[in-house]
Amino acid sequence: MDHLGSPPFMARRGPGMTFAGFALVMTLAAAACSGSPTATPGSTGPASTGPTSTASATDGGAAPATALVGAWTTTITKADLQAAGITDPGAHNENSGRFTFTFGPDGSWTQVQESLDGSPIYNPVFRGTYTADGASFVATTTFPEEYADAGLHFTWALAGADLKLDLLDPPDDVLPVVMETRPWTRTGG
Amino acid sequence: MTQTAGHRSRATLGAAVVALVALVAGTAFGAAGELQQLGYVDRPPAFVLGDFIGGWTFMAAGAIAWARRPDNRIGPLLLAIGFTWFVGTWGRFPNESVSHLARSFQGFYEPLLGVLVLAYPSGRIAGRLGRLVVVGWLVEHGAWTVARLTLERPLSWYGCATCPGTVDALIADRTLLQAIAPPSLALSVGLAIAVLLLAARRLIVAGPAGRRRLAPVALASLALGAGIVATGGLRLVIMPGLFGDPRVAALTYVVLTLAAVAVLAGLLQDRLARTAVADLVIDLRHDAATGDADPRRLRDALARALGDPSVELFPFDQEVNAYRDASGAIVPAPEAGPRRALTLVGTDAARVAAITHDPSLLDDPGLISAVTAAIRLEADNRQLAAEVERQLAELRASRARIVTATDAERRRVERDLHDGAQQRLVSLSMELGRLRATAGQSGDPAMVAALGGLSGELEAAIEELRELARGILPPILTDAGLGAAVESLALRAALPVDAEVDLPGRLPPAIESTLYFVIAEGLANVTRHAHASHASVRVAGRDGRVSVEIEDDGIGGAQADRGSGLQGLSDRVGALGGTIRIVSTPGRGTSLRADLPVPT
Repeated sequence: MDHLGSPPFMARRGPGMTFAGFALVMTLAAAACSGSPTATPGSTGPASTGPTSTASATDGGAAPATALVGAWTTTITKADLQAAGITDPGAHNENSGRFTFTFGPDGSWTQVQESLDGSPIYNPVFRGTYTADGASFVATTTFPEEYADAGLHFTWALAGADLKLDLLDPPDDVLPVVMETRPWTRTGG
Repeated sequence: MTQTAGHRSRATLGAAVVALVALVAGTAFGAAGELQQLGYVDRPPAFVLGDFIGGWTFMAAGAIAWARRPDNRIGPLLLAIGFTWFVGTWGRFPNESVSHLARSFQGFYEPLLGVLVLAYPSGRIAGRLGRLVVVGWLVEHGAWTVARLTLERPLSWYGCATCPGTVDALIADRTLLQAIAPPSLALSVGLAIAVLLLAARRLIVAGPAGRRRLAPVALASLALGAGIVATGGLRLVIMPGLFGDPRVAALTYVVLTLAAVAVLAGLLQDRLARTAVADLVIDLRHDAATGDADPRRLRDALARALGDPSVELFPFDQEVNAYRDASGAIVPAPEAGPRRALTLVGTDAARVAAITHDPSLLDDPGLISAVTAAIRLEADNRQLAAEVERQLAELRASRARIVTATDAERRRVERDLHDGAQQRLVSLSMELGRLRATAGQSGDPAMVAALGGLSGELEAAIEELRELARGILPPILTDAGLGAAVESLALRAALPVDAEVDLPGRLPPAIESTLYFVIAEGLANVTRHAHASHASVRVAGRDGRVSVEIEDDGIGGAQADRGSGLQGLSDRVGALGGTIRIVSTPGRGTSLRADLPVPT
């Protein structure tokens, strides 16, 4: 975690890791250790392959993977985090705000976080690649660089115009609050 | 530059006020920043407290240094270190812009610490290389700050967070920043190592005094530099995880706080040095008072004052126009050497001494000035005292010569009267007697009566002439000495006088006559004012001194300055190096005592 304050020396070097980013990395590590085939970095396909539409996506009437493409927004407040038992002000700052999760048709994803109250967010943008089917996707982070080769395994479902995400094997108590507390509303095509 | 005490006092007061205001403002700035960190899981209270203590110690040391040494830059530098220490604590301020500025500018205390390491204790960095390294480090850090300020700006600074291009621009900026970071860090670590090497060289080339002066800050600064290199270097290439290790952070806090305390201790050491200068002044005064002007003692006192056992003192001998060493031998004019500095005391026109010492002492010109001023002041005092003593001796000799010359003149006049006018008058009286006898034989009673009248008048004139001669200088004193003269005075006194004279022999004429006139005036005062029934005179001489004491059983209450005639005698006694003392208690008589040295 980036140092705020004085020592240790050279604290200024490199953008800091956000709490969410840290959780992301821990998730990947935990997934790697558990041997989950979908969470290992190596299991992720290249960005150019785009989202896949597998047989499971069509089985059972699930939405096609292309339905994920577009921009989705949710808002998480510090009160939401507090209610989930998260008390660290740092976690509040880093994990609250207006999140915009954009899935591209080329298999890339971007997550932008805007502060609601001016609190500093040290890594407001994450980017990566994903592979999806009709019910789940694996997101691999390529930016920030220090979080590269990471991946998270989600299930997803559409409920009207909203997107509901479920983070499988959450590494901590924070990330599920961000991803699952409220549905994601489509804001762009 | 000469500075008056009043100006210095105002300057010191002004600096103290500014330093105090800076300390209060810095403390508030730091405390507010630290309070914002409370509650964060990565900032336990002990960590926040340690961070605050570390920064505040620098600021407190800086305020003290600035107040005590307004002309030295170390104070403001320490305050700047403390202030920049706390800048990063505002990185969690709930405003993205403030937070971003704080995070961008944090860490400036690192190159400032480099300045401290190379500039302590004078406040100036000696050597072009040192200045180059420090300026390079500051520029490097400034460039990094600008890079971070522009490439790591918060999302809101880009304008619309979700507009096309915003995310790509942010990612491009951050990627560029990450590319810059390693070479920037490497350069910073390299400059830190350069500072370490220069600090080590300062320690090596410094003499014992210099090492002692530099040791407190140098040791802490070396540890500090090692911390910079270790944490920065390890993070760069070996063990990135060590950077965030709380044990490393805690160790760094301890080292940095020790550095601030060491600087403060160094300043107190300078204060002790000032105390040593005061001790030096006392030593010099003691030497002057006891007449023990041993150059070795002075050299030792000087070594204590300067904290430099290698110091050498070469007093300048005005009489031979050359310097002397501690043994008193004449030596060539001392010169500065590669490892020896030379400080001259006095001016070309009035040299006092030369001092050779450790060159590091030149870092504290105030101490050198204080020491040389003390030596020069004492030299001036000695010269002044010697001049006063010489003038006093001349004055005493002059007064004594006047007394002696006056007595010789008295003696000549008395002898002239005795041998000249008095003898002629006596001869004339004898001739008148013979004429009166002749007139009697011729039966001229009128002539006999007239000559008898003339003869009586002539006898009266002779007696008056004798009295006059006695007043100038009694012949008995000249012919028979003080004992006989005192007995004569006692016999002629109007009241009973016991006289006791105990002298090994004749005294010098000036002393004899002075004592005689003291006794004569004393007995005259007893007769005129004391209403005494008895008086005594005692004269004694031994061990190179002679004293006379006149006592009576009269009414007492006599005062020397009330027309007693003793003031003139006191001046006369003083001219011969003697004193007069009167004890006269009302109802208990009067005692007059005169003491004089007897020249051998």
